[in-house]
Amino acid sequence: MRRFFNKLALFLAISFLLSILIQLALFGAIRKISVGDFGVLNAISRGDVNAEMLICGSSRAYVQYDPEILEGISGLSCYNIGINGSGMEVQLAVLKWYLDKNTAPRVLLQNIDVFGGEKSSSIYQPYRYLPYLGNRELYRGLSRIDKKLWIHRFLPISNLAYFNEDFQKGFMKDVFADIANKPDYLYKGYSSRPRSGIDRINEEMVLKDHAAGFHYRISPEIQACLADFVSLCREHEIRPVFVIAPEYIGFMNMQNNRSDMVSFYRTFSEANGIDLIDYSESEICLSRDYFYNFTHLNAEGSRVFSKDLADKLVRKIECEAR
Amino acid sequence: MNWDLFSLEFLFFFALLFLAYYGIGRRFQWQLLLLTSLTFYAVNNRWEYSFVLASIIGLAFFLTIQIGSATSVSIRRLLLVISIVINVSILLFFKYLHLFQEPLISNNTPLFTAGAIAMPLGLSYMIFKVISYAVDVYRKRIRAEARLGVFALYLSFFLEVSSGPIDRAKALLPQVSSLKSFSYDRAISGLRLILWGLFKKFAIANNLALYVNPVFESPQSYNGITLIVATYFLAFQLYADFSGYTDMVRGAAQLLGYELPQNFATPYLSKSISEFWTRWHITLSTWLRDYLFLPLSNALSRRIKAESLSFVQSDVAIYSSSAIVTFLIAGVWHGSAWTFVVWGLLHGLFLAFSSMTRKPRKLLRRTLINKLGAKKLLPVIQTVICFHLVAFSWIFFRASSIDDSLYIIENVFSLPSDLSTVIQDVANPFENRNLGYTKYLFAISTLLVILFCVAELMNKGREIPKILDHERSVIRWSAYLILFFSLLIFGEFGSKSFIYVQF
Repeated sequence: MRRFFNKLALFLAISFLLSILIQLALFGAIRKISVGDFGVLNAISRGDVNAEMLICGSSRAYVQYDPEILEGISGLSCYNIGINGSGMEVQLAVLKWYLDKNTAPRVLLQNIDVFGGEKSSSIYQPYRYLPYLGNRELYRGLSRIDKKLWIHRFLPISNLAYFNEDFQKGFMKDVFADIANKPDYLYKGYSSRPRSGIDRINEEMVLKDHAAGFHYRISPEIQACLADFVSLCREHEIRPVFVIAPEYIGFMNMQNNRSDMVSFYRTFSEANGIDLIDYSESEICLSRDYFYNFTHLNAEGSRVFSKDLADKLVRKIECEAR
Repeated sequence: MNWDLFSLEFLFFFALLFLAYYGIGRRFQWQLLLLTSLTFYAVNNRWEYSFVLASIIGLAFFLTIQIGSATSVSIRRLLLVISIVINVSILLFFKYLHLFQEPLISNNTPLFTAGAIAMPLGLSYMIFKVISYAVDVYRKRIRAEARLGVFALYLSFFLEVSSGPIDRAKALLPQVSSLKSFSYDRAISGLRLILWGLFKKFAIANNLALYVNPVFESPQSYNGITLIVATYFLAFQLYADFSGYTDMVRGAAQLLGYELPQNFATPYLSKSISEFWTRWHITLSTWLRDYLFLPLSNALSRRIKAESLSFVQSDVAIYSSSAIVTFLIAGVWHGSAWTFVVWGLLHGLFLAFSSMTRKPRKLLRRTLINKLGAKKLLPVIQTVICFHLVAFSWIFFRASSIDDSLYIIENVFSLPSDLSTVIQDVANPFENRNLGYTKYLFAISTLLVILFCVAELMNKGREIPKILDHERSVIRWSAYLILFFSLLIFGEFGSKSFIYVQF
């Protein structure tokens, strides 16, 4: 039996060493990527961003806030660190990581998801953060959501199973784009989606599947995140601006208590001296041509929205200056 | 609480069991396994079902002892009938009770809708074991086991209880009684089987499931080409899932010193449906053959005289009708849905057709070989035809309803006109459905299926992990590591349940 255990131990030891080597090679390659999502995370990690205006949020930040338009109109250098599929807790963890490595922005545009008030039960596409878990702020923030994250930080072999097909696909796409010197598909973290308007079949499907509509709430965890966010901005002398971005009218009509949610954020903003720009009544929401699904603007919608948002910000700043 | 076989928690538990098993001394090994099996059963079922298990074990033990000791043939037969009737009734009660709870069916699948009583884990497999054991004792092929504990372990062995293999008492009971000492070669062979089984389940079957499941859940949403791909993928998903499970179970059993029967032997390389059933789910098909098909055929042959059927040879009629009845029962055993009935009927009809056309097919075969020189090509054609018949039948096996099955069959050839749509529909028909499926995943799944096919082709009938037996250690270790890392990198670990557990 000793021979058996020796062989088994040898196999595990070789696997462990191999997994460390594979991980070192992978992380090394990832850290060299300068395009795409990994390019953005690397820029944050290296402290290369240092924008005057920073955009935070989920996929709505990622695909809707065009830094080129915003910086063109506002005159402030702008960067988008919106992360696809992220909840408020992940956004806050990434923001803390950003502030740990970069100089604080003057203005922080925080996209608010009216429907994002629930506590995150898991981290979407967690592999994205693995190469950067050495950063205390990021690790602490993320491990509040995923209690098993320590395994992935300290046991490389477990990461191989974590690097699923999304990772493999994204990693290869970015690595090849980098090697081939292809133009970055993101502009300062912003991902433009040049897709046509909302598909009627999809719309009917969603309406049918959720005939009773949606009812939202804001969990204590998200309220704690908001409070943390405010104190973080105060600590770094950042001017935060909350933005409730446009959603398609058909979807807003399905939200049974949308007005309660909006008024919560309004009250919270007023109480903490934060500007809130609400697009719930905007004409953008009325046109299906501006969206590629219920909650995401396409490239054209994003252009119109970013321009309008930049104008509003400039007006606000000018007003205050006067 | 639930222990999925081969979840991380289970593997951890199994490692502890392994240490305890060889640590406590050989005299207590089967007692430890019995305790483990009963605990496994209890935590994976509602607690009340422990009484069901106890009743089945107690009754089967008592009746078979009586069968074994009775001297009168008529009493022995009566006791056997009682044993079979009771056990079949228990199975019917749990499996088909919904029939009496809900109004009978429209044309849409569920023969019965889900009822309030859930099926105890592994009940079907256990009942199969009880019946074969009782029949074997009645036929005096084995002696009735006199130790209740040993018999209880035979029925409830935790590695077999959820999805088999359906081990015969003649093979398993002596193993339960014998004292096990650790064997290095057997343990290594067991680990190899587990690794290969994990790879088949998590890297192949689970990746294919990501494509197959959405398509079979709502086939009306997809084009013909997608339906074709999903049907092919389904064939490999079922095979990789179930044979992967069996490999893992057999490997784990080998670690504990047990040798469980092989359940699959490259079934998709069969040249006929009858051959397919000697290579697919072998323990079930041989059970059906020995305890259903042969007794039925014998009974029919006693009643049908050779000259009584003018239109067809009596042996063909007996074979065909027995095959149809056997597979109809096999279909109903798989589940309470019309789709399973049709699946079973199809296999019965395939066998009946092959029996009825044996002579003309033999003639055709001879003509093809002699006149067209197709000696080498013929087996390939036979294999391809057989595979497609089986894959066709899987449509009914997997679809949610007869309507869905018919929709798939009617629409498999409705191909889109332009090539780009074909490519899109093949590689990722879910692009607009937010399922997270990618063309990359499709490429990986296809590649794994191709590699799997190559491995099967190269090792006709042999178990793939055994190929490594005579290789140099460098090659063996490289193979282990490649398989292990491929499993980790390409494995889809979202679902840990096995398809056949539901039956």
